[in-house]
Amino acid sequence: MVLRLYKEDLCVKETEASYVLLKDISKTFGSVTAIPDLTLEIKKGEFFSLLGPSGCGKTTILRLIAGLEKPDKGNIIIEERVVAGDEWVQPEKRRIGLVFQDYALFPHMTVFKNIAFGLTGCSKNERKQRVMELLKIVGLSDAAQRYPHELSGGQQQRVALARAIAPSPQVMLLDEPFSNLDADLRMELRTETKRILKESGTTVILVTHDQEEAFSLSDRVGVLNHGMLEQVGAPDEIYHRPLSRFVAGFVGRADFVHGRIEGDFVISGIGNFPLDRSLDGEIKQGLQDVDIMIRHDDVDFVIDPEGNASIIEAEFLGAEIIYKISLPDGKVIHSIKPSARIFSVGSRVRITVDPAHIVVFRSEG
Amino acid sequence: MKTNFSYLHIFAIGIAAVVAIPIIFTLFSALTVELELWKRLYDTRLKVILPNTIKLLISVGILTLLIGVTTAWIVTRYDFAGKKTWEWMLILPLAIPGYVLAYAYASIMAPGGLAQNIWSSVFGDVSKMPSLYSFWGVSLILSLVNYPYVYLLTKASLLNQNVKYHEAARVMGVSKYKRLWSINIHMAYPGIIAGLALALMEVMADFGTVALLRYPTFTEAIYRQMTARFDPSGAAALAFVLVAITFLLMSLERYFRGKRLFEQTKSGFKSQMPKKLNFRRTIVMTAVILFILGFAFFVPVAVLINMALAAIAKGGLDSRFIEFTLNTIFVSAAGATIASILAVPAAYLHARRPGILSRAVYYASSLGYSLPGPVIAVGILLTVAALFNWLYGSILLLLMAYVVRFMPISLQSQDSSISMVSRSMEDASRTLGAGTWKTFKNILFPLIRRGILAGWVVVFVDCMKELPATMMLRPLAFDTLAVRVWVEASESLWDMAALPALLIVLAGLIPLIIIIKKNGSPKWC
Repeated sequence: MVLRLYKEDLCVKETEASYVLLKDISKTFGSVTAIPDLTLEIKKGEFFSLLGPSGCGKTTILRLIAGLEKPDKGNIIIEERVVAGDEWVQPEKRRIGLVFQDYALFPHMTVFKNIAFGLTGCSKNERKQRVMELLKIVGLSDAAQRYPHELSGGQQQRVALARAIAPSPQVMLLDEPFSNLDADLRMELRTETKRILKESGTTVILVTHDQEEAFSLSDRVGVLNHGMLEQVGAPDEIYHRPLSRFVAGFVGRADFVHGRIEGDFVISGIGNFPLDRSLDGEIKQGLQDVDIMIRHDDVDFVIDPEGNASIIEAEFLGAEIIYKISLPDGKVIHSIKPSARIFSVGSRVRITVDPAHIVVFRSEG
Repeated sequence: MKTNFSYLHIFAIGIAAVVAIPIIFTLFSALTVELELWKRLYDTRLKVILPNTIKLLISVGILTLLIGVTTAWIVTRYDFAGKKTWEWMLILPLAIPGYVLAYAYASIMAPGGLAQNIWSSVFGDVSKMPSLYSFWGVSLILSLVNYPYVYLLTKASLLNQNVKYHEAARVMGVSKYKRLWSINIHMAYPGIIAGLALALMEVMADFGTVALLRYPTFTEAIYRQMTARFDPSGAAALAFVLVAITFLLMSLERYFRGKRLFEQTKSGFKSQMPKKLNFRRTIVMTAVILFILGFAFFVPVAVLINMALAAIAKGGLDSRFIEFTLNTIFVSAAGATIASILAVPAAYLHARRPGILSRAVYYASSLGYSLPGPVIAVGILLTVAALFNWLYGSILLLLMAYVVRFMPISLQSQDSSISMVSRSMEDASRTLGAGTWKTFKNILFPLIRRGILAGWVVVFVDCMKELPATMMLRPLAFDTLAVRVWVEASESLWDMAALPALLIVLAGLIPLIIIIKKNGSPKWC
């Protein structure tokens, strides 16, 4: 059975998912600048993630879009309507759904009343029908009369999602909605949430510090650092072609190896790699000393008593092992290998590096 | 949203102004008092009441520390039969206002009373019996009434101590007595000082005890200056000095507390295990507690009940008594309700829209609580005389005094209730399409209702007990229970005062039961 999330025959209006535009937004709290100057465009119906470490301003951006904070400067436009900046639209008039990190379920109301809270201006029957429908979608049909404190963390999260979806918002905002859950439950709810939101066709903006979560859910990801967007792009683009050292380090494990650009190649102690010149403007301008980003899974090795490198540490992760390998010049590099076979610390090895994409940054000496 | 200036701010500023104006008015009119009057005041009043007040602060300070710290120590560090009961019973004396305890002992020690009978059968000569109407009499009464502040806050500090520090000292080879002094007592310091400060503030504000036992201090002098001499300037000047001493005391407390860092490590908290006591020591500890509770609560309450029964037998439950009771319930309920409603805007702003303006409004609205009743009464009388003469003699003056003095309690309890509600609750409501008012009505209010109610009850009971402001501001022939106790007791009509006194004590037990149930220290005191 296919359940429709948005029903025109009910009190809830059919909505066209719309796009969100933040233009030259800045926001300070006292003497702290949360967002210096931000421009961000989110397309209709897309699943967009804001990824960054804690304190990077990502939650502030959500609160600005929801209208829970006012920007100091700049405009926020939702579906061609200015909601902050030149005009001001109260949060209750923005038709935004927000799922809070702590869920913020009303403790004095039942699950039913929580979900029905945002359904104003429709008859009692329509309301009941809509709430029961949503409860079915999130798989909590028999919990309607329970109170939030009687539910598990995962169930609370589902109620929070249902409550936010209920008035069929134009834009759905998720503020670290999975961070309070256990690891396996997190995986399960992540897939389920994605399915439910995809079906609704709403524009979704997710805030998270977990790169895996951002990658697995989103069409596009924006990486934030100190309130500034370092890079916006598809998950694979962000992972394989990071535009900055910060992005490279934040979205996955990486080592940086010194190299020199000569012609179309970058020459380094661990090998020479062909350069893709279209990538970097600075290289065109004659940059020579660079650091090459090497992901742990780009590095392989074989045991070789004659080899010029050696294993100095092994970190057992379960399915995989990360080996720390010292190079002849004293630098270290990491390699990740399946744990089916274990190599002992102290072994001499020969390494081979085969990066999927060559990414270089200006050398930091 | 943070810096939005809204109609809520306007309300809150208006309320703060109404509350703060009488106080500021008094202080300003004291500044215009001429030197001549200051000199006269010094010769006739200050020369006596200043040393009297300081002596009283010192003696009550020492006595409350002694009783409060000892009892707190016994119930936190030892484990013995009955300890759980003593632990909550030790705060019961808070239910008895100073003037009620003074009156109870005045009747016990009256000629031909219980104490004289015991004295004459043990020592013989009754004229050698120490008098209650003396410095030591006042000191003892005020200490028995106020030691629970020291007890409660010291107990809380001792219970919050992490056993780790004690263990660390032990491992380092520090002796038992040195550990007791330099770990337990020193780390409980902030609690002890805060409790002592509260007790001493009560002493400064006390009117009934000192007036009944004829030991002149500031409150009594202000009262007489205003009602017997009709000298508002003199009263304002005395009020000014009293306020100055009060603030000095408050800053001393800050100073003694603020210098030290008492942040404890939160991780792995474990409190010290109380020591199990053997039978002989159990008897000793129980005797110590019973001795204190006997004098502070059981004996006076038993005497009150006894006298009340005698009064009932003589037809004390007459229509006049019912009228006083209804009067009291009416003004106290009105005062508590107005205070609870007026506190909402300032409490909301303070908890939800932090900023200089919100803080200023909050503190301006809280000014009254640190001030004794007579000071507030003088302030209101001066303000009314200058600005709203037509209000004179109306019940509104009394209600205003209650609001000025007790609204800070409502503010405190509402502020802390709002702070305990996660802010995202209201944000969620807003994003779900509910406006500011609907959010308050449907989300915040139901969640803080208990806090508002608890504040209401405490204010209600405090209004019931309030004596000096009620005496100075009540409309003609409008008697409350507190007024009756005082009037009858000062005429030595002991039995007549018993019924209203007992009713006040019973009402005073209500907020204590709330605290005992919550099992924490009272935030409002």
